Amino acid sequence: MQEKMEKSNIFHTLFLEPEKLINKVVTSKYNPLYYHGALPQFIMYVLFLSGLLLFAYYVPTVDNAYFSKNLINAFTSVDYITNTIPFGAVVRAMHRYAGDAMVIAILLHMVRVWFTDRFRQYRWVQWLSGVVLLLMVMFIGQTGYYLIWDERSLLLTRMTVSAFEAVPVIGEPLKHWFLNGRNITNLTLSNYLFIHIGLSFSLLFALWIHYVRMTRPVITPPPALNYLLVALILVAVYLFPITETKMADLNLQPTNMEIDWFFLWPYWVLSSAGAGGYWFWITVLLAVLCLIPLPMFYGSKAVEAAEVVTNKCTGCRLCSLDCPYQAIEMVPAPAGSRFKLLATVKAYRCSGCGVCVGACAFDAIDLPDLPDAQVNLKIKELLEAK
Amino acid sequence: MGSIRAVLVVIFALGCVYFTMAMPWAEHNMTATKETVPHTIKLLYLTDPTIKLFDLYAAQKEKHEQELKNKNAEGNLGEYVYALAMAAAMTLAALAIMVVGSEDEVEKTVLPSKN
Amino acid sequence: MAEERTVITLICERAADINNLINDKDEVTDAPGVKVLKFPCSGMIQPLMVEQAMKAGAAGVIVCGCQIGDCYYREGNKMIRERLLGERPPGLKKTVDRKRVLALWLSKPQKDRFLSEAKEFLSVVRRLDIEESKKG
Repeated sequence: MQEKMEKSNIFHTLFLEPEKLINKVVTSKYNPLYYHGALPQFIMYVLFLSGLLLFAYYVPTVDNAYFSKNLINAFTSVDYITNTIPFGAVVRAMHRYAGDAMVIAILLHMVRVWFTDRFRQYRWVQWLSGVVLLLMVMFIGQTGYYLIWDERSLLLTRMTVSAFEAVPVIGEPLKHWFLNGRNITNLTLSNYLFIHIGLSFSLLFALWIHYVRMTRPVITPPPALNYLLVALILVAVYLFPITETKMADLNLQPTNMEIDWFFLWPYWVLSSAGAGGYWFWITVLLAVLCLIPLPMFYGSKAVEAAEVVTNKCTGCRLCSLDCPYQAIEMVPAPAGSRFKLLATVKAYRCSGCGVCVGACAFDAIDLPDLPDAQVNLKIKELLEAK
Repeated sequence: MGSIRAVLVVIFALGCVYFTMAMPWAEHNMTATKETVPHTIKLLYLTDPTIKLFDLYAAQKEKHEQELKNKNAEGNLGEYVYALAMAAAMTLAALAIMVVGSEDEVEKTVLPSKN
Repeated sequence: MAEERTVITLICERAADINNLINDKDEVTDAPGVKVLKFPCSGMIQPLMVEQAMKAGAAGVIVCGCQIGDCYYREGNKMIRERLLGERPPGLKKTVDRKRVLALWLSKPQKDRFLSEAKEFLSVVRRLDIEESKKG
């Protein structure tokens, strides 16, 4: 109980107060805290669109021999986008800062979901798929930094290879998969591009799993918030413009780089803890994230799932349509019934919220904790007591 | 709509137009000549006021250029300023929408009477 | 003058935190005559319950859920709002006096707003009672 109090106090200052203030100024309709899950989804569209524009001009090679006079490779194509294509630099910067915004939005989503206690029991699938999504976004973001093929990309590539090599048994194959061969070649960059784009589209699949147990997920913030979000990204574009970098030279060994703290912090871990330490900390972090929804940490009692009163159910489907967790399935009614369908509750998905009770005009579904009849009795008692 | 809200919306909308007009100016590397005026504006016979507006923005030109050069910005500097102008225009548009949209009472629902 | 009738509040336990406002008889201390019944989610409230409260002699019913957009169980408050407005089945019966139903959507810290709205609503329905008893 004591611990719970502390959590709620932090929650109070971190979320409830700002929430109250925002509600006062712009009403709940435009409160970004009520769209924390939809924000990353919108940022994903920004990333897809800006990424598509960059993809049109990007050449994923280290060295292209067909254009012997001018070196055409990943770096020079990025340079061409930045300096020659109209708004190339702006689109590049937007793509980069939308990526950072994605990480911020996901973290906000995660922290808020944790503080509001909306991640466990009947929601564990959402939490775990969310961890997978975060992992995917991190890796996609990092491959984005390899694609530029400047000195930082080369350093990151070599650091990643060293981390992979340290993995026992599968280290060597991992390295070959990552480099698409034994050494850095043209194929390496096509692999990066494939991972960057292929994994981005796989996000849609992971999002499907993220949403599959939710009816009508909120995935679009109101347009006004979208404008504000794009405006924020554009301000970042002006404040932190794209700067010139040096092309990667395979014969040199760059040692320093600027760190994008949203995506490249694992490389900071890698350089300070070594490859062994890196895998240790990453595993610990992932394990903690995955174990957070384990019920034993919270000592909460199991959800009392809603129960259908079989002889009252008319099979009207209203409860199954309104259930926010897809926990009610309509099955064919048993033989001899006057109706065609019968509602059945999938107890493992049920949150015990009672929306189905509110949806039923026939008193045919009940929460074991608080049945309809008891509610009406209580209302009567309250009215009679003087 | 309350009069304060109406005034706010007008201010935000005018601000939005002001910054939107800065976008074509910034796109042409912050030059204020007849050539940079968009064709639609010419069709509306608004070339002269637009150029006057451009001259207003031009006062900011050196400041922006200096700032971006200090940060070693790569590419066309005007396009970064375009991004900034677009950000300002979008923010003001969002604020105007919010002022209009937040007028509805959302914390209380009074049921319409049925007869 | 007619007997002073009670207003029933059907409230989500995660909405406005009014635990400090009510006494051991589930009555709002500062607004005597407003009695409170808690639900796990405002989505559980049936229009039928509102009707039954009226039938059993309540002067009015306050339905209170969380801020729209922030339901702990995702969309309970939207559901009951749509049901009360007749946009989602099952709806309120036509015979229910709409003036005697008030719906509030308040987040946890907003107990003051709840109290002021409850007081105002109480005086409104009491006035309605007096007017109707005069009409006979």
